[in-house]
Amino acid sequence: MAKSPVPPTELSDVELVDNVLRGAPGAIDAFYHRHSRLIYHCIRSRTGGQDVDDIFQAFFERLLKSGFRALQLWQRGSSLPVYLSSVIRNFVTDFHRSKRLREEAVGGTLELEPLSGGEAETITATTHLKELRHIGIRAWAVLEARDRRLVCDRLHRDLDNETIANRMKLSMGTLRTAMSRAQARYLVQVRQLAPEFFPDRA
Amino acid sequence: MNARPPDGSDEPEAVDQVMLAVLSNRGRDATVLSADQERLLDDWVAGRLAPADEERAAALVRQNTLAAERVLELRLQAATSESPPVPQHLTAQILKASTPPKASTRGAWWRSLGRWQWTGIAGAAALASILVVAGLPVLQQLMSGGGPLQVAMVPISDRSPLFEASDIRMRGTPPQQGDPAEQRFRDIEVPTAILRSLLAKAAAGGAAPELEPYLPKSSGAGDQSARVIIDAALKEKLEASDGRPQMMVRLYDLKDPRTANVREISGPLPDGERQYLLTVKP
Repeated sequence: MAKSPVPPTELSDVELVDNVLRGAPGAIDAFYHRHSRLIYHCIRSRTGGQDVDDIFQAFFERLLKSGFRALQLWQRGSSLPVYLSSVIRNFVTDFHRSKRLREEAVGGTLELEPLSGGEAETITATTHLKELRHIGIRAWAVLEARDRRLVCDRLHRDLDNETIANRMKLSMGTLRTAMSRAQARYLVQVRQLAPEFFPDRA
Repeated sequence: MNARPPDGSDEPEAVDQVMLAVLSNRGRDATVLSADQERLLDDWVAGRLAPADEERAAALVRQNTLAAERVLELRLQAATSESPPVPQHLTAQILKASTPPKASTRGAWWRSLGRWQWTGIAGAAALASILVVAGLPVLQQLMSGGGPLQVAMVPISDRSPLFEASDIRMRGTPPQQGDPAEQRFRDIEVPTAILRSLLAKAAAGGAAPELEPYLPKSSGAGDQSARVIIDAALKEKLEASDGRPQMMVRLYDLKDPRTANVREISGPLPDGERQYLLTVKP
């Protein structure tokens, strides 16, 4: 029974990744065309435009050299784009850490080899939201005391406006303004730590 | 570190309720989303919801991990679409590097072969011819639809062998996330189109090669034929899936010693055959 090949654009991410891992013809191209822009965006948002092309190229060199190990570790059923964003976050951090330590230009995969350690590849899909919660805590920690209290009461204690206003001895109108500004300041911090989830400002 | 906006920016940024909801997700619930819930989230991220529905979507994202992850993915894709594309020269370099070396060296390779190597190649060709002749009946059987992956459907009256401790969720604690390698089953996401085709083929007792990519790859597995027993309950769940493109299902490898009690459902295993049970994920 002849099996007609499914066009790459119609494959699910699971099928796409399975094809890449078993070396199916054209699978790498299909993976690249579906996810390269997202990978480029994640790198660009994390680096502010510096070294983007180098890191992007190094990332794919690393993928090829490792036999797509990062994709082998992807937990099927979870979101591949979100998983890739986590992998890239660690890759970019390692790239910059290595660059700082060496104080010289990073030229290619040979120099990147030492920084291709487990950190980037031991992420599982179940940790995505946990990571984001940690980012949220770090963002919350740098707020001023009143903002911290407002954000905590709203986002983590689920209190309504009236209860929060009573606790903080504020009028409802003042509370609404204060809450809105506290949340906005909180999100500014989150954006600095996880810029890939926010639209480009440039 | 001062988190206040810089001087001159009295007005804070418009509050991004979608991201706030994701950040306040408790991670306590991972119930699979219905098609309606997925649409609700998609519309929310796209800014197409009325305020009352926005509240509903926010509550869902705060409670359900899968909802939060879906929203994150949508955010990521939306941000990506506004971001500049990959420069073409970079794409060309990477795709060139990923392409295996072409046959440009083939001529040199042929020329470099010595007499003994030619003898070896001739021998291999003769052996291949014999294998083709001997293997033709097998090949014909495969081509005629009796392929190596057979499917059959069974109704399961006693579901107790399918109980998994990791499915228990206690109030106030996150669901247990065991190491997949330590579990005796795998939860996999399969397109509903493939599941529908499987069910149709199972009813007729046919072959279903499209399921092969979803089966675990074990050593020597390629030599063995495979049989997948499909839980009839999957049909009901699929009918209730309401047009969703993918569905989580549970797969048991019946050769795994830990699935001894599950094998009571399927009966004894024939030698030299891989056998799996495909069932619903609770």
